[in-house]
Amino acid sequence: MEQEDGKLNPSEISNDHSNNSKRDFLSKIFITLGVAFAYGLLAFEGLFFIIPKKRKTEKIKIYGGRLKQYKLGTVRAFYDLQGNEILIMRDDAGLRAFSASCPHLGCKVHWEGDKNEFYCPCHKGIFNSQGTAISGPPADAHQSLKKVSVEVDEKSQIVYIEVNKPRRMSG
Amino acid sequence: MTLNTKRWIVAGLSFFLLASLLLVAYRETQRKLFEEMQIAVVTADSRACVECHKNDSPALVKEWEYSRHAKVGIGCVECHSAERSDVDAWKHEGVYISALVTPLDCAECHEKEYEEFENSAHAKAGELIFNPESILAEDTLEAAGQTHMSNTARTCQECHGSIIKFARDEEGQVIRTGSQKKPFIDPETWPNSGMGRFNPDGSKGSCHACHARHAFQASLSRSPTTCGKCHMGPDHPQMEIYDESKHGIGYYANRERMDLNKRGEWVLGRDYSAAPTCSTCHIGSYMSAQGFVEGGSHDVGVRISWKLLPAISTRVNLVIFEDGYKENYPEDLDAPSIGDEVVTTETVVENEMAVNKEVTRKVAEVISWEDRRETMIGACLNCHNDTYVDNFYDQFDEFVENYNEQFAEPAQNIMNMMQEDGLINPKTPFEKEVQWAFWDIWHRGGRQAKLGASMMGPSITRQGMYKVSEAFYSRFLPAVIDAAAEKGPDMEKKYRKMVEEVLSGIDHK
Amino acid sequence: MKSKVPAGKTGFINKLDEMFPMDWEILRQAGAEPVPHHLKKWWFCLGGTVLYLFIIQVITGVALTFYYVPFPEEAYQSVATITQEIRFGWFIRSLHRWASNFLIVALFLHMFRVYFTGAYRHPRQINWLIGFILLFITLAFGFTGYSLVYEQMSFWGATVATNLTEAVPFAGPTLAYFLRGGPDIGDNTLTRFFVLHIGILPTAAFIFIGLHILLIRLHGVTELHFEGETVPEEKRFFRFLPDHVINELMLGVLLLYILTILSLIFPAGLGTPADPNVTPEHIKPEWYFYFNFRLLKLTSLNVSVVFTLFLFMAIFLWPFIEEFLQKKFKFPDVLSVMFGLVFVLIFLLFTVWESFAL
Repeated sequence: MEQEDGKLNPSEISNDHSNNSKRDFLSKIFITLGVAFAYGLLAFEGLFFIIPKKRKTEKIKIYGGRLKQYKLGTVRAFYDLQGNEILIMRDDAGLRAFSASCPHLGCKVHWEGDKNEFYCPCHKGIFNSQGTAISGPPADAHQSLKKVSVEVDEKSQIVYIEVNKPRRMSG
Repeated sequence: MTLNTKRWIVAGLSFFLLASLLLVAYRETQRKLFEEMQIAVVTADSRACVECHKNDSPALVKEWEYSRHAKVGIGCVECHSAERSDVDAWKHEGVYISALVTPLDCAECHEKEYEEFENSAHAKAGELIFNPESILAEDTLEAAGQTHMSNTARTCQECHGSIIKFARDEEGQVIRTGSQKKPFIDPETWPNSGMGRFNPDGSKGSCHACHARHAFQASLSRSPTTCGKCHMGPDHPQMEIYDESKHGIGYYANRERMDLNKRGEWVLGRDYSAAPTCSTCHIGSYMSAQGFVEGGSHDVGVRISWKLLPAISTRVNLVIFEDGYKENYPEDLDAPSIGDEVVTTETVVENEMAVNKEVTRKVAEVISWEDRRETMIGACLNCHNDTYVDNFYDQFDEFVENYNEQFAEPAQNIMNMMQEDGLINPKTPFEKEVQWAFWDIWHRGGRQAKLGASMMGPSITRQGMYKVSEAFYSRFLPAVIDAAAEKGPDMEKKYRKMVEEVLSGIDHK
Repeated sequence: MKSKVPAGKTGFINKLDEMFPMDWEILRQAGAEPVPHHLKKWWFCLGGTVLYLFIIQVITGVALTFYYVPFPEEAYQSVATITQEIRFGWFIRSLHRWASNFLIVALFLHMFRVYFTGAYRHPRQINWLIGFILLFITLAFGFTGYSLVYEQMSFWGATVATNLTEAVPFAGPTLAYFLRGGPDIGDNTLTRFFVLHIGILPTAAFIFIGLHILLIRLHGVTELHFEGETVPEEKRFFRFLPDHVINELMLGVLLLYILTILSLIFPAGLGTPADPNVTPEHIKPEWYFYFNFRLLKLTSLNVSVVFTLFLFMAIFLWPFIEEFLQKKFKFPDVLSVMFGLVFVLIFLLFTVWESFAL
């Protein structure tokens, strides 16, 4: 048993004096299961922590003035809750709202009243009053201005614009 | 300890750990999300205002940011914008605005509340300015033929409301000052947020009298202390009565659990239950016995069955006309029927002066005082059972009737007779001792007693009756004789006899 | 020594073995280190406990860094978001908070154990020095970590602490300037504390923990001999694997269990956000600094700082000091124990006293 230096061979030291292999087996199963499940659940919960929750963007209606403030054939500008500009125009068909962000590369378009079109100065993109691009790079790519939902309350004649509810960091 | 035992121990501990982690997972699913800090929405229109005014008047802007208005994008311009033609409008930083925000402005969005309010007794508060007591506060300038309301500006007007007037030049044009040509409002009439303020746009009142700006916090308007700003004092001590009553005690002890700031409807029996506030009984919604939400009107008078403030109180039926105008009809006066055309007298402001106009209106609805009382009782029944409520009303009704019979009617009869006999002049209502005494009987003591009885403030009621008795016996009756004596021995004899008749009556022996 | 690949294994294994020619036998030998019998007593598992808790701190700490924002305007809010919005955020944060407290308690206990069993004596003096450095690192962890929350107490505690640093002789003002990143607590300060907490201190900790463990393995765990005690030869040692490991596992699972329960019942909360313009009535550091704080209140700024420094140096160099005293003045062992006891009692007394004071 003894090694050269007088120490016991470590692998032969045992404090285990029982000899019940069946009990051993059962305890081994349980300890493995127990530890695996416990730490496993912990790891699982940790994963939930690290991976943020996917939340569908909520919408909120913001106040956009009263219908009578919108003159036929003109366009009014609003900002949504994230600072993006929205253009609302009124024509015979009613109110129409578009994001002022040009679909080409994101520059701000503005309304040219005399020409009845939206104009993007960056690459001379032009959109008609329906928001469809008719000239310039956006037209080549068959793009149009992103529509924004707008509605008028019958009774109070208030214009409501539907925009994304801003979220701060969330999990 | 064998290795095997240790394995079992670890296995056991692991399962405990597993159980606790499952609890963690459970707790996680139960956890309520922190109410997201909502940000104020500054629309393009109001952006310029906020940018500048957040330095000029930072607390004001902060209050607005806190409000529900800000959360949905109602900013400065939405309430303060004005038409160029409005008398109170001027161009400020490129936009026509007015400092005056009237109920008509609020009605843009809050139309229902506006209609209820405009036809209520609150909106008529401004008309009470022409009652005798305000004469005590006026400083008449006979030479100019004008009445300076400076003493009433800080007293009567502050609650009842002023007539908004502008400074005008010789041609009657509004004087405008400064580079922005701001219209100069007569400082004796503004600032004012009185309940019945006569606004230049024809509307009456001011919503922010109860819904203080700019946070417009619900808990403020639902709190009894808001009403108490005006409904207090010797001539109508509702605040003191409420404070004394069990209702008030319940409120002050429990307001933390009454969810006063609840957004939207605030219903007794559903959202709160600890105690009623002023708004509970007089304006607010409550759960009806059938399980529906009932009540809820900005007309504070709809549920009132007694008109307690006049010298002699009567129960009142409500007549509602087609245009929404409402009038109280005392029960001893026949109410018109639906469809009748009635000539009503309405106080309006024309050319910045209050005038009484006669307007013919058609009756649309008549609500009896019993029905009005039923609406009020709906709130009582949330906490008290019918016997309790019925008996209370029996006690209350009897109290008012006793007061009427014992003091008010005899005193009023004598006053009427004295007026006929030329002993007192209605145009000088405080000339003689007898007039002061009569005032004390009904305007001070009587009201205090009746209101105290109506809202269960026993000590105040008692004090009110003391005032009534004291004024009646020790001042009024002797003063009647004195006033009569001034006109001669015949008068004196006549009134002495009248006084003796009163005193020998069954009520006073 | 070439590794012995068991006969009968496929050529694939051979190939792997050639790619990574590690001598696996050495590993097995290292794992089979015999552990002295007295380590069966739980008292001796404290070092392992500290290590285990440290690992928990690293894991939870890294997780928290996914969401924490180290800028003054946003720090508090990010902690609030973690606590209130992120899934299991409250749990991870509470674990981190509770484990930090347990870690420091276990560390103190471990230190006491090492001291009172004389395990710092020759030839193990260096390990004592390393251990003390680790203590210092841990306290710095606690201090910087708490400041990151940016509550009122975080801010003002950091203010007091950096002002105290000023009083350190010679290096004080420079040190304070370094800690603050300027003349006052400001933007720079939070960033610095953040870098310290997640970068510099962990790296230093890893290095010193590595050295600490290495030295333990090199020296072997101190065998204890109590007077008159005889231990049968076969019971002198027991296997590291699986016996000691399972002991540590027991302790580990138990610890995590207790920490989870504490996180459920007493989750980490949030005080009011830091406001440089408003000094709270009662500023208090974390409990492990109560001793220093009480000392400060009893004496003056300079006295307490100098005295604390002196104390730290004395504890740091204790193995050498004791050796000197024993050689020169025939200091008996029992006197060291007395010294230790007195110090521990005073430490406890001051700590408890401060906890009751306003």
